[in-house]
Amino acid sequence: MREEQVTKHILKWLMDSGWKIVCYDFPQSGTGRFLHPNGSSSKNQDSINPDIVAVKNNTCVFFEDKDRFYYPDYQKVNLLITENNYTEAISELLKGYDIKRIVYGIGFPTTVYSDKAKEANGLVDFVIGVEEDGTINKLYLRNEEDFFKMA
Amino acid sequence: MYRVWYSTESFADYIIDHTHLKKEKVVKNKMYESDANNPGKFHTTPDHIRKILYLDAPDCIVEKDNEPIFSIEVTTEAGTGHNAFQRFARIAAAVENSVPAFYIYPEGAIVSRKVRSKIDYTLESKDGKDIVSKEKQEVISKWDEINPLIFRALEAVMSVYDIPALLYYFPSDITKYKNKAEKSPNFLNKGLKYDSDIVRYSGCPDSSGQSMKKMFEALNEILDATEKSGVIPARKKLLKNIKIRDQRNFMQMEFAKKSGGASPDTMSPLSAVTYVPSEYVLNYLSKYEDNDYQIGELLRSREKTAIYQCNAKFRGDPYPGALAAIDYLACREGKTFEDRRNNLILVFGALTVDKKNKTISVTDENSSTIKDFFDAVQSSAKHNLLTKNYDELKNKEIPRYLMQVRYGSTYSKVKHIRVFSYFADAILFPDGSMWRDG
Repeated sequence: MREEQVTKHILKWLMDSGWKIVCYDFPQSGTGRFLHPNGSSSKNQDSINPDIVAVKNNTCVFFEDKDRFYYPDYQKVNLLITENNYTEAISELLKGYDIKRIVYGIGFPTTVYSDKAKEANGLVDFVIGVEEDGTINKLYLRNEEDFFKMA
Repeated sequence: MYRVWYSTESFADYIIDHTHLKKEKVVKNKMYESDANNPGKFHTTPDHIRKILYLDAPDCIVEKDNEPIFSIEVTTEAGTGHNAFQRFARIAAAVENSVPAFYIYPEGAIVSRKVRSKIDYTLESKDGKDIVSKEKQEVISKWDEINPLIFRALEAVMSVYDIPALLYYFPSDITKYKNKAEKSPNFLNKGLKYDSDIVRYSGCPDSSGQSMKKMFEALNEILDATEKSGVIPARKKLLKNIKIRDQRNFMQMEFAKKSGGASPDTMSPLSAVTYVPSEYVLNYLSKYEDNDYQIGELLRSREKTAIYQCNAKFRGDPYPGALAAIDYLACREGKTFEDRRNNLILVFGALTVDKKNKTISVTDENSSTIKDFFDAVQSSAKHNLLTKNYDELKNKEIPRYLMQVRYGSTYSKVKHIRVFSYFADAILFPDGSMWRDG
């Protein structure tokens, strides 16, 4: 399953569950939004390009999607959770929405959710698995009362 | 049977579902750009598709019974300056293989820039009024509009090949929000309108937009003509088709309207072109001649030379597409590079024309060096299987080996090397030169 298909299945699931898509991206889609670090003057250096950003009620979700388990993505997501390097860009992106909580996580094919992937769970707020037919699996949730109760 | 080759499946579905292809039996295949980009897969691409991909890969090629019918390239980038030509080589590649090309390009895209401005404040004090200057930074959003020369370049391609090369605007808010970009309902998407079905048609233009409806009509004209007459007979009559003529006329009017009477020579990339007598170039290259070697006939056969100056470190985009466009705008009179009125030379460096000594010079101002060109060529060596013995090849490498036996490193070089070496009669650096003898 390609990253494009992972992203599209998750988009459909979120939209069917009443989420509003703020932005999305997959290879060659041309739709990505670059978020620059606070105080950055360089064009795209250290910018991030989230694969899905969606909002529902007062919650926002950020997805980093891949067609495989990729540890650097977990590290990237963890930096978003623990550091405040992109607060300006994220505020600008979510201007117009009343957001009280942002959760950050990973999307990939369910088949790649290996033991190695499980060990990295603590770095992110959630891991969503996708099957070929579009079935969504909630593989890991840091907080059970999290946004997935709304999904 | 129809086959759709695609870079993203969303776009393939978009074209199929909005044209007469939806009534046909259609197979979809992922397209691999080159042996350099996709060494494990490219060799599986049929030969007739590879020929179109040689220079650069469009987003979609539709074929019937192994004969390409049309290609489509879509971009969301602001088309100012050189940018409008960044993908031009893909259009040229299709049309040079007699395949009609469609180019979806924004009429404008919103770009936000930080701007510093000085503001004077008047402060009243007990001594009188003081003027105080303060620097303010603000973000200004405006539409970066398409370089109208792209329409001329596409018209030139159509004139040379008698094959449609049509541009349709990516739907946007520019008409209604031209002077108030910040109010554009699609501001977050640079003012561009995407299709509402973002799951099935992710990243695709709004199919309800007028320009897209017209494009679908034109594509249907080609499909219908193909069904009626066959691919090749239909192709020959396409420029006579009214819907295609209408779009060609629209493009010509857009050039006239947007250029506002300005000379094409003042627009990028022609503004970076210097014309010299070919004698000057031959005098410059004479340093490479000796008793055993003289520069060949090709450069001597044309009185004038168009020199495209890229005063920058050697790199690809946007220069390859711009070079391809300059060929059609300023040099080409026929279907191959041999059919040129003027030589076409690419310079990486600062060009100076010395009329007194009837020569030119190329100096380094931005770290331009021929070594970068050679490094890029040599980097393709890692894809070369031809140095291997049979027992060193993995089974899956055998068909790729056979492709390389036939084509050498044709498809293994990076894109900008392929395009530069295809279009340029000579490439000059401050520290070295390369040229064609024939």
